[in-house]
Amino acid sequence: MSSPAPPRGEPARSGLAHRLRALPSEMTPPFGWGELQRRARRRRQLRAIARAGSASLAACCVLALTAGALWMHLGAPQPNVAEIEPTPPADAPVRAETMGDAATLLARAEAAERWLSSDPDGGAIVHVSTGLAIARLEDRIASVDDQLDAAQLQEAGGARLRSLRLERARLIDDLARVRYAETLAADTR
Amino acid sequence: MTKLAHIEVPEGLIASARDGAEAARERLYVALSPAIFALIRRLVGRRAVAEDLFQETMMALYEHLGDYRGEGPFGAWVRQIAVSRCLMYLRSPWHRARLELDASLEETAFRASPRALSGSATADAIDLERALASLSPTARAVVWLYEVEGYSHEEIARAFGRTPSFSKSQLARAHRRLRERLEPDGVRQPCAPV
Repeated sequence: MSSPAPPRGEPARSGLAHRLRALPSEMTPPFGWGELQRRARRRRQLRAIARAGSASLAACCVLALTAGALWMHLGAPQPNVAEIEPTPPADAPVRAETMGDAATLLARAEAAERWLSSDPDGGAIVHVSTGLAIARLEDRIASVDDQLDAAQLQEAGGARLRSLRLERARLIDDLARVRYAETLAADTR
Repeated sequence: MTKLAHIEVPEGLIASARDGAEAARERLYVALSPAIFALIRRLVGRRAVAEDLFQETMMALYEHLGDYRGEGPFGAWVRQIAVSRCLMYLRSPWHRARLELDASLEETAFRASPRALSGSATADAIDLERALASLSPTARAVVWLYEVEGYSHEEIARAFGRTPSFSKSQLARAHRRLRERLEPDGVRQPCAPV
C-alpha cells in the first residue's frame, strides 16, 4: 500500500489548505473487524425479518380490506331477498348478460363450497373481527337455505327460486374469500 | 499517515476479498478503516453520526467489491463510497431539520468558545480542529472536499446537487470564518482566490 503524488490543484490551494492537509488523515475506527462482522450478520437477520414482516403486513392488509368490505356489505339491515325482488311474470324473458353473470357466479360458488367443505375444521381464525364476519355470513347462508326450502315446498315461481340461489351463491363466494384471506394470514404467522 | 484516496491495495488482495476470503477482507479493513473513519469524521463532524456512516460505508464496500474495475487507486474508489454516503446524509431532510434546531446553539458555542491557543504544532492542530468544528456541516464538507481532497467546485456542486456558485460562496464564507477563529485580530493572511 503506497502513497503516490499529492492531489491535483495543489499549487492553487490556499495556505489554509496546507494546514488542513497537515491534520491527521487517520483515526482509530470506532470498532474492529470482528464487530463489523457481527453488525453485518445482525443487519442480514434484520433484513430477513423485515421481508417476512412485509409479507405478513400485506396479508393482514388484504384481510382487513376484505373484512371491512364485508362489514360494510353486511352491516346494514338486510331485507328478505324475496321481498325486494319483484316477481317477474313466468314468461318474462331473462336478459342474456344476467344469465351469463349468474351462471358464472353459481359455478364459482359451487367450486367455493367444495373448497370450504374440504376443510372440516373450518381453518384457523386469526382475527376476532373476521370470526364475527364469518359467523354472520354462515347465519345468512342458513337463513337463505331455509327460505329456499320454504320456496320449494310452496312451489314458488322460478324467479324467486333463482334470486334466492343467486343470493346464496354470493354469500358462499364472500365466505370463501374471507376464509382464504384468513388462511393466508394464519400461514404467515 | 496516508490519505484515503492515495491508498493502493494489491490486486490479489482485492480479488481474494471479492471471492469472500475472510482473511483478505480483514486485511482490507485494517488497511482502510482508519483513513475512512477520519474522512467521514471530517465531513460530518458528529462522532455518533460518523460511526453510523462508517459502518454503512464499510458494509457497502464489501457488498460492491465486484464493481471495482481497477481504474485508479482502490482508495479513491473507496473514498467515493464514503463521500457519497456522507453527502447523502448531509442532504437528507432529517439532517436539515436537525440543523435548524442546532443553529442557534452552534452560534452561541462559536462565540463563547476560546480563541486560538499557542503556536506549537499540536496547539495549531487543535485550533484548526476547533475552527473546523465551528463551521456548519455543509461548509465544513465543502472546505474539506476542496482544500484537502482536491475536488473542483464543479465536482462539489454535482455532489451536492447545486451550482458551482454554491460551492464558491460556501468556501468563501468558511474561509472568512476560519480566519476569524485562527488569526489574532488585525492579522490577516491572504487566501487563494476561489
